[in-house]
Amino acid sequence: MHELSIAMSIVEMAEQEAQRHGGRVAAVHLKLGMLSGVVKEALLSSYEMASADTALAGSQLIVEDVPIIVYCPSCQEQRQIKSAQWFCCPECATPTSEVVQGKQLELVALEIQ
Amino acid sequence: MQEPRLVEVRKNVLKANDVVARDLRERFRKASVFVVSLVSSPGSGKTAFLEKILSLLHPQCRVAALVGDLATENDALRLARSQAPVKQIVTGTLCHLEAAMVQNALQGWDLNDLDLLFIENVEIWSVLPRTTWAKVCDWY
Repeated sequence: MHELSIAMSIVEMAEQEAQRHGGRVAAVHLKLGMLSGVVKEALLSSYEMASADTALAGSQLIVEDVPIIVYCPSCQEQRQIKSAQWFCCPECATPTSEVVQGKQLELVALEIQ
Repeated sequence: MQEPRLVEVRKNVLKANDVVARDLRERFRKASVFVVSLVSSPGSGKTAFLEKILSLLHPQCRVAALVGDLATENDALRLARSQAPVKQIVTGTLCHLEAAMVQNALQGWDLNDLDLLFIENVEIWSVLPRTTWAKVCDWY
């Protein structure tokens, strides 16, 4: 359950950004990779707690899921895989450990009113 | 009320961890230590596997292990029977290893004295060096 501390860092980063731009934050946009090790539902409920009594209280956390993309050495192509438990090319079943995308946890944008 | 405006930020939330992790990978590379991060379901046999492989490899190979656990040192005690250097990382309420925990646990060890290091994680992420079983087997 590290989502609460992650939610707190998101709130802190968003507060700093909002201060620079001025205004009230209505929503925080986040990109969440399937390999980030963060559970979306836990992050969303943690966010409410973490943002309470801060400048971000009442703001919304909008999470965009980022799928896992690996590089298949046999097909020499990037492929999207469905499960973090099965690192094989969905076309030719070659095992691969080369992750192209899916680890990120990125604060993308703020909606400011 | 004013129309909301979208301000682009693009900041990595886990940057602090990524920086430490990158630094660790660099240290492992410089000292030519092959690092295997073990991640799998609770009860699937990570510690049993390590018990076996450490006894097999030590002392012919310079092998060591870091083991993460929520509360106890039981795993390290189990693995210490192999006589290989073993350290326990007690994570408290945290269910995974942060890169900084690995960094702290390595204090007192000279990486140049090691060829192979196993890190038994509590959960996915943090350092996550590439786990390549084929390479480990070749190496052995």
